[in-house]
Amino acid sequence: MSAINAAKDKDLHILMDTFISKLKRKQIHGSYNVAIETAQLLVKVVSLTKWTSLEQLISSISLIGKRLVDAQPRAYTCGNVVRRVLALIRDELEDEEKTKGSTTESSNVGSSMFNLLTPAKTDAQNKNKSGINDQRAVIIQSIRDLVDEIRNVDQEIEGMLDDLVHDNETLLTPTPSSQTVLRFLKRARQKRKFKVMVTECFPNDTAVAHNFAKQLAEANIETIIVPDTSVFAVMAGVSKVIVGTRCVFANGGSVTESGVSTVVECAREHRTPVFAVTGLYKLSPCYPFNRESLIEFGNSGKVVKFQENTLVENAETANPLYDYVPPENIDIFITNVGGISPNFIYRIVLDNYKQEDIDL
Amino acid sequence: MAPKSSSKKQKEVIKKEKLQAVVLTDDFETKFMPLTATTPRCLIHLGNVPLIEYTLEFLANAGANEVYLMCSGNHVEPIQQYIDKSKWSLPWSPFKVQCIISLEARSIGDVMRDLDNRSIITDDFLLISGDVITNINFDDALKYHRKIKESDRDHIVTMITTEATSNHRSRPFDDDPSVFVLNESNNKCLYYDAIPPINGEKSQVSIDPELLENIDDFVIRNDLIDCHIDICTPIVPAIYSENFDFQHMRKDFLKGILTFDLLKRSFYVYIAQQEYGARVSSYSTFKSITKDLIQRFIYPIVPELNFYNNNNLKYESNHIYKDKKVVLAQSCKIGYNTVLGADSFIDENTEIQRSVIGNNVKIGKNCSVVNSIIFDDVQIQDGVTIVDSCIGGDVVIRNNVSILHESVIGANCVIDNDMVIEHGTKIIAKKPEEVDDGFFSENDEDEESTDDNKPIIKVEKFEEIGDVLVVGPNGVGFRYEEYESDVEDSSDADSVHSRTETGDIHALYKLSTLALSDESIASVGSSVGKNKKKHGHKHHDSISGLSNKKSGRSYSTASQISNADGSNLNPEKQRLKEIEEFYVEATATIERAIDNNHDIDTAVLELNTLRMSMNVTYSMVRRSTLNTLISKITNYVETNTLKVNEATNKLFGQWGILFKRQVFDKDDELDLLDLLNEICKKIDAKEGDNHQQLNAKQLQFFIMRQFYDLEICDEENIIEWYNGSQKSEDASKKIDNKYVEQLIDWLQSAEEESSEEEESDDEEEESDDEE
Repeated sequence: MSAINAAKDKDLHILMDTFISKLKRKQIHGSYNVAIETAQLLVKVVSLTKWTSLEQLISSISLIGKRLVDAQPRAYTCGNVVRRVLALIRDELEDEEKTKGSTTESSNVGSSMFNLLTPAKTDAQNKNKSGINDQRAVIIQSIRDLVDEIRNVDQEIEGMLDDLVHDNETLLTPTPSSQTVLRFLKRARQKRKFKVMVTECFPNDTAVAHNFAKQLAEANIETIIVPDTSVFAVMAGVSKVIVGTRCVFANGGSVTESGVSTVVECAREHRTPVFAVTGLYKLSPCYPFNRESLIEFGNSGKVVKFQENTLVENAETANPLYDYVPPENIDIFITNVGGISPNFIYRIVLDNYKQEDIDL
Repeated sequence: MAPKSSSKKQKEVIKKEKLQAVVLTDDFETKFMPLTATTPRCLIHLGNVPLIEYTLEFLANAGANEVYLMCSGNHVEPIQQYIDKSKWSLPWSPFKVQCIISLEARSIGDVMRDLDNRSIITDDFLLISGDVITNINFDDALKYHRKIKESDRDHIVTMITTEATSNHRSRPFDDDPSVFVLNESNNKCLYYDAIPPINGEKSQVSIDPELLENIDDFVIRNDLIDCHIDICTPIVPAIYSENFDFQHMRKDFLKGILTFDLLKRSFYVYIAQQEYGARVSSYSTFKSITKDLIQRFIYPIVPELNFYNNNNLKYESNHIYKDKKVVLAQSCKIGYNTVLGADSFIDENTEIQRSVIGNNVKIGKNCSVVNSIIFDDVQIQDGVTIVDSCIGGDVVIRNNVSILHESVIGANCVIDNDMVIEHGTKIIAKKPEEVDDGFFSENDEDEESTDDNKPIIKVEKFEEIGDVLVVGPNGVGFRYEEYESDVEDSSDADSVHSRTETGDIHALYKLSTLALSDESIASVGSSVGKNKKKHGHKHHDSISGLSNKKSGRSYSTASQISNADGSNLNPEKQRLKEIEEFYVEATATIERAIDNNHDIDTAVLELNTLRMSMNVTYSMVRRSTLNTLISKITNYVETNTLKVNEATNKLFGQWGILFKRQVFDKDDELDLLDLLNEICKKIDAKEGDNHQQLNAKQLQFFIMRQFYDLEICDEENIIEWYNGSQKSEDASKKIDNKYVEQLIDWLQSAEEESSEEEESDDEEEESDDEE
């Protein structure tokens, strides 16, 4: 029996370490992929680890979550998914306590603070095996539901487009790398006729922007690629700005591709509405206290060619990959649970996450 | 269970495409001394991560399945221990790591031959140096390799390079930036050369026109960074085995095969676009690659990846990276491009710019650290200035020390208060004999013991004293000179000489100001030759055992060092190196001939080959021949085996003919006599009265008579030489030798009365015997 457990532990280690090193090596990239992979990893963890109570499971998962977050502090979806799963387990725990609460002593029902101070009572004796297995099945099922939710984000957002895009409008998007935005626009074309402007996104996403424009053109949408510098000039003719996001924080601020910050600033100047499309899984319960630390810096060689020795030697180059967009520059977040104003994000966060899990 | 089945599937895929990788952990050069005295080269930290981690990380990304680390020399154990403890030997490591130990290896060629013997390699494999940092997408390179292999059956190696410019900081200037001549259409490598640049510019490349036959367009690329990542076919180790003299991966193997038309093998170059790859081959590339890493030119390989142990660097804007528990005083200034290791402490008013500070480093007040790399556990007290330098682990630097450009302080040194470490100084904690790379330690010991003039001082004693002038009265450390073993025995006069040889590219520019006379070179050559005398035999044995050929190429220790390190010198310097090398080689050749009784033609042939390959004058050949023969005679006489005249007769009787092939006209004869005079005078001056057995004047006389008897020198020329020398103003040319005078008298009289020859000859000999 113990041999099997040891083998399971080893399997778990292998799983964890390969996943973490894949994250570090950027072999898994894109917030969607990271989210799906993380959820699938957690399914395996729940089924492989040996646990006798939900508290134990929670602590082991939050430990794993900590490691994942440490591995790639700027892939926020990773931490979000872990927190979502933790919230699911806590819900399960609450249910269990509710059913038990009437019969057994109420010591366990206390607040999280209270739990911290008293050693977790092991109800293992009370619980029989089948109980745990049932719980395991329930949790795994709810994680699978979460995966489905993540997978269906785009469809749900698309459902709202009737109210958002109108005929003969000009839309501008500074985030051609967002698959959500691409699908959204393609889907909108089926009902409406409109024009799209795409910023060029030098230096990191220029090729992506070109590809994006090509795909839109193939979908019979009139598309213009705008140099990053002329955004302010064209803004007067733009009726809506659509932005994809990487992560939305509890205050309504968000992290997106670099260059977006200037675009939304221009939009604000022209009073052009800015829509940000995002999935619920990108919602983070954290606050962006240190904005500098949110932004990842990429390859300086894309700004200054590495071959240019004198420049490389004498100039300081930085190539930020992301931008932080403050909440006041976004008018509405379009999510799979509906349109949400930035100052209401905290409420959605409370619905989906538990306070205890904010610090993993 | 779901995960198990999926892992099984993965295994099946892996079996289909097993990728083996061979990592060369040592390149058998001493460029990183004194840092490599304590740490193997591939474990030197770059951005607070051991170099080998970058290579292994690349291999993990490349999808390697089996990794073989080729270890050799003294550094086997640390590497093995490191690997055993690292994450790479955990069960979930992406590949299997195995250390292969070849203690005997003295070059990359040896390592490859060892690899061939072990027959590990089954398919195309990745050959990579253990100090490569790259973000190249290996799959593309591998696809390119496979594509080429389909079209060209002779294809054996794909070399991966990245694009830069000829003067790029990350190209190894002091390690012969490589020039590739490529077929423009398919990047087939037609010719390779590595020439040290002069003032940053290439000097020249000479190509055999035959190589370019049938080629439409070719390009000469002097802008590529050779990453030393090769995709090789399994035949490559075998080629090394066939050609036992290949030492170097590029200079011998690549160039050798390309210029030798019998082996129809082809090499291709893969030029990675917009990707980074470079090899830490010297201090200059070490620094520039550190900068590239910090400035994020190697993204996604960046310091905050933290793939090493417990590193936990966090990025802050302006390319500042901070690890855990960094303590910064309020008034200290941290500039751009800086890495601060865990638990480091920076005190008030200290300024740090473009530097890497290791873990647990303490820096005191009012210091300035610019462009430098400081390894772990260094203590720096107040008021210290460090510019453009490397400070090894556990070094202590006391108050108000200045360490100037391009200096390197080896691990465990202590620099005392108020010292100024000059430009380009290298300091080592222990004498290099003790902590040698494992290269020639044996020979060094021998030399030490044969050197009677020098008292043998125990190293522990040195440790207490230290090199006071460099590290101060309470310091620990010695100035490290790269050619220590070579120049050690030559006297103070050569210290200038040796200092310029530290391999520092900047120091080389000053070379033109140094007047190096022919004399000093000769003295180095001859003294080295003398010292090597006792090892010559040993060398030969090992070589002949290997090759079983009379003409087996010998690599004497000195020449090997210069082969390895002479390359980074400018042409003028290189020439001096070559001449010195020639003397050593020639001496070894002649000694071998004498010791093993080769026939005279072989010896002449060997000398001639040597002369032509090194492109030296006959005068130098004569000098080395004469030197060797005389030292042999000296040996006989000193060991009381033979008397002077007997020894001379014996050696010159057999080997004097050598000069016949070296002396062609009158000028040559005069030159030979001058040489003889010079050498004998030197011996005379050196021996003084100590050695009654050997009289240099007598020796000169006997040799001159041999020259005459063997008809190497014409009597008229001898007389002319004598008269010329006596008249000359140069004191060194003056002949102060009664024996020679007698000989001249006799020659003059013999000219008049040739019939009396025999009689007077007998008289001479009798008189000598009486002495």
